[in-house]
Amino acid sequence: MACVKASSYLNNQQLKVLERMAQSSANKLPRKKVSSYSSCLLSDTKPCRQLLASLSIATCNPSVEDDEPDNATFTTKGAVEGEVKVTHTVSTRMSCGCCAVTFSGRSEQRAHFKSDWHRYNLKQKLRGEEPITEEAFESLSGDISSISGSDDSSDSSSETDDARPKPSPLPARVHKSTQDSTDSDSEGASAVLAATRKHPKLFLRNSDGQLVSLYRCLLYHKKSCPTTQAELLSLASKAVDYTRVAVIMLAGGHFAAAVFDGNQAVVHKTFHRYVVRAKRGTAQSTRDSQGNAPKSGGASLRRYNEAALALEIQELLTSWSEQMKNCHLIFLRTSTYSKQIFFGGKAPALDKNDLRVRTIPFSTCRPTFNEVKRVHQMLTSVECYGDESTVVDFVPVSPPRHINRNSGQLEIQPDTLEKRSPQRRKDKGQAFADTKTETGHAATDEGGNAVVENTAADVEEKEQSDVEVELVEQVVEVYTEELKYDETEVELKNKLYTACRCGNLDTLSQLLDQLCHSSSPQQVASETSHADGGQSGDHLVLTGTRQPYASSETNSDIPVLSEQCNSGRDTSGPTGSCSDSKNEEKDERGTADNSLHLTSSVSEGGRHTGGSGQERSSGINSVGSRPRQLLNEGHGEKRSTLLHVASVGGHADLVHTLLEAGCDPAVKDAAGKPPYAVAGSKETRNIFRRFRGNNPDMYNYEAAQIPSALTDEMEAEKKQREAERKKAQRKARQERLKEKKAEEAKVAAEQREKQRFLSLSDREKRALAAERRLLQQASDQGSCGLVLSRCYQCGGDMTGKVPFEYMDFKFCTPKCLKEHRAKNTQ
Amino acid sequence: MAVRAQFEGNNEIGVFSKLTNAYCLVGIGGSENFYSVFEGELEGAVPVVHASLAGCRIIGRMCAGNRHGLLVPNSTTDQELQHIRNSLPDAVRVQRVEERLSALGNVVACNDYVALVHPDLDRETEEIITDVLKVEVFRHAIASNVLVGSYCAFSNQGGLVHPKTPTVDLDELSSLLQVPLVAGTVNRGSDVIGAGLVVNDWVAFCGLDTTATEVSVIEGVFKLGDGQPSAIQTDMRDSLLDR
Repeated sequence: MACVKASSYLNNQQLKVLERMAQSSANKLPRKKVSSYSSCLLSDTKPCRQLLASLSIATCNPSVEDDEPDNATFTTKGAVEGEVKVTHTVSTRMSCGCCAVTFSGRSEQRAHFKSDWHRYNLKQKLRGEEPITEEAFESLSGDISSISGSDDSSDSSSETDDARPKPSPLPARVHKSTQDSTDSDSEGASAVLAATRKHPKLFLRNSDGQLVSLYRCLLYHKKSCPTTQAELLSLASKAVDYTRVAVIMLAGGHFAAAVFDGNQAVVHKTFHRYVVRAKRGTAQSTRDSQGNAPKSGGASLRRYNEAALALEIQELLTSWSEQMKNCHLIFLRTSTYSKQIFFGGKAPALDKNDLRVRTIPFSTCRPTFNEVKRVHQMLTSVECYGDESTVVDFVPVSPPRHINRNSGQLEIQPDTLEKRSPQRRKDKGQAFADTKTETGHAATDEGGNAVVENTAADVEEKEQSDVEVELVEQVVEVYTEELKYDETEVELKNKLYTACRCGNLDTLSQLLDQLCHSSSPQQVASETSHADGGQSGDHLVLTGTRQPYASSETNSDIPVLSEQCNSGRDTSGPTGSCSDSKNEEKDERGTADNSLHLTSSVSEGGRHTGGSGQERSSGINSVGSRPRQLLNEGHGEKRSTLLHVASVGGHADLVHTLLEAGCDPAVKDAAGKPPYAVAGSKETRNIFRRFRGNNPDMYNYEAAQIPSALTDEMEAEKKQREAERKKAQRKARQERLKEKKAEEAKVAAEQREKQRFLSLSDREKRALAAERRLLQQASDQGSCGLVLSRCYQCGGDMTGKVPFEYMDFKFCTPKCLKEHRAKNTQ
Repeated sequence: MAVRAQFEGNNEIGVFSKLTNAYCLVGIGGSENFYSVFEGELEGAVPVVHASLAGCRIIGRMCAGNRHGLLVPNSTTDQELQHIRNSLPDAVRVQRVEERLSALGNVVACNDYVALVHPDLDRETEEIITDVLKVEVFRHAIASNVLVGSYCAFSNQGGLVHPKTPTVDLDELSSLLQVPLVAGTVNRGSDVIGAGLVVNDWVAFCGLDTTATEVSVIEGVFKLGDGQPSAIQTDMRDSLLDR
């Protein structure tokens, strides 16, 4: 280590140092198990108070720092006094004033001024305290091994405690050297505190001479470390009062937290989110912070989950704030990077400076509720190692303990399982059973206010099942009637569905007619079965499986419900109960409130249908609420209504009929699509739009996704627009054709000219060329009177033109030629 | 000889300059007066370099060095470091140091062979000092003051320390550093020797306020000027003359 480096250049000293180091390592106190061991929880107040009666610091408090410093010894020979001259000469005084040593030679002097001992004494001197001897320093340096520069936090101030008899953690020779020095109690305590600060446990001796141990983190926060022994002991005796303890653990996306009062969990909660990629092993944010954050789906999933986890934790802790406020201690286990979940943000769940918040001083397994319980019990247990005199020259080690699943208490693990971690020991089935009992426990404790567990609800249900039995009789009566009508209902529905599916308009309108005019479903069923004949067949309507009536209702609501059912039956007869059962199917699992509301609406509906026979002719609103429900009901897994079925099939007329009959186009199927969206043809869609135009306020057309109304004027206008567009198109096409023709004519003329030229003899071609040349020259010169050849008939100038000719006569145009020939033949 | 100087009316010239046997660093001031004093004395002997460290003029307190090397704090910019490297002789190593106690001039006092450092200095820094400055490092305090760089100034010839240093400590230090030491003041009684005085083996600069007495003490202990008794008169006298 650093100390070794400092002295490494020493020649003869080095060997000594190494020797010393070898010795010092042997002086470290071994850890051993003790023969008698017992522990009791702080929640068991009485035995705990007994154990923690009139405490004193035990001598076996271990020091965690094992490495002894290696400063060289300097034999204190007589100081070689150099003469101090007034003239400017180098002094030869070989001594160190702050360490009170003299040196025999230059090398010794140099070594000393580089040693930790010198530096320590120097600091002592600057603090105004006495320097210590080298031996004392050596014994101390266990805990101040690195007094290297920048960490000037070595605050242990004085010699080691020696007032107590052996055994002691200090090497024997140190003891001898320090025994004669006088120490006050506080000095001794601070030395012990300093020497043992890092050991998680504090060993104490009680009035019975027993050796007991407590976790230090239970007694004080590391920032508020007690300075005197008395203070520490008073803290230890007060530990029994710390009954309300919160344990919060977060690791690898697993979160578990509980607030304990005594040994009982007042509230607890566990959850897990996927934040750690198994192969990599660190949270996504840690990976991202290294730069070049991956963009994969998994990574973003983990990123999202981390944020969600943080949010959940914060919400949970906020909801627990009342309990947390009352806690004496809060134990937190979390990684550094996730500390900000607890301490960061605008309203942190925990206060950074809260001295109640402490870390867990031992390794823990994955955060589960069991683990939280184990941690809680480990932390709050007072361990007793039997008579203190039996614990000599070693640090007692507690046997490994684990939670007994049956008792929920920490128990000493049998030797055979000792090597295995508690996590591995977990039997899955057993663990499950365990959690179940726990949750039941918690739910009954608190009324399940913060505990959100399904199993808790189960427990409640069981407890209340006996109340239900009384109610069954009432319910059954209502029920048998419902079942009877149910069959006819199903049949009717089947037929409607089939008609829509096949696009059979006649059947559908017949069915609808009957549905609307019928007063009782029984009638409807019989009539429809006549009308439809054997039509149905393979199209089966799926209906939700009926839930046992009482299962979805909580007991308190049942009497009210049955009452309502009875009243419904009284007023509207079977109609009420029938639609009630239907409604229940639709909602699958209606809550008590819901069904209550439905029964009342049922009786209304019954009355409505009774008087709706005449209203049918007037149109849509004539349909009563019961048939309307039937019409708007979803079928099968897709929950598609009749309108959906007709719409998909593109049966525009059917859609029209259904809309007229009162089918709601805003009812959506399981995919969340209204009938309009699934329409199979434009005509069908237009039917919807036209319907919207005719009945602009009837339904929620926004929900139905029907874009805009379609009225007759609009259609006419559109038609006109279409006609105009067509006309324009035709015109354009004709123009294009004309152009093309003109082009073709041009090409043909050129072709003809070419042909005529080619038919001339070479001599004539030359003459023509010559004529043209002359003409060109003439035009270049600006004179334009040059005429080389004239038409034989009209006398017109035809210089440079291919002439039309017969029998050596040459003409400018075929017309001239014709005239000439006619004249000559006459 | 000791030369008096002032930096823009300030007598603490040790703050604004660093003098060693191989180079002299001078803080960048508003005028060239200060620089001229150094240039006039040192011209031809060692390079006198304008420098800043971390944008500051207080280079004397920020850096530590001797003829072997120069240590500058971590806050020194790359540009400054490059300028210093370019200006100093190639034999001088310039090294940046990651040290919490970044005012290296206050916590390190050294000549070409030994260094006295603050007791809390990092181990790493101590090693760097050993390597770069090629010195032996001792952690000590001067007159119960840990800022050894501020309260003493020493060259290979001698040293001046805090006026309240006990004689015993003075002797111990002297024997440790192997240079004659004297407790004294500069700048008309100022005890911050390091700030008031820069010195190398043949010249010293002190604040303009330094009295003649102080100057004579300085010249005496640092063996400056012509008034020094020769070795024949002192060391060799006994062997030469029979008594």
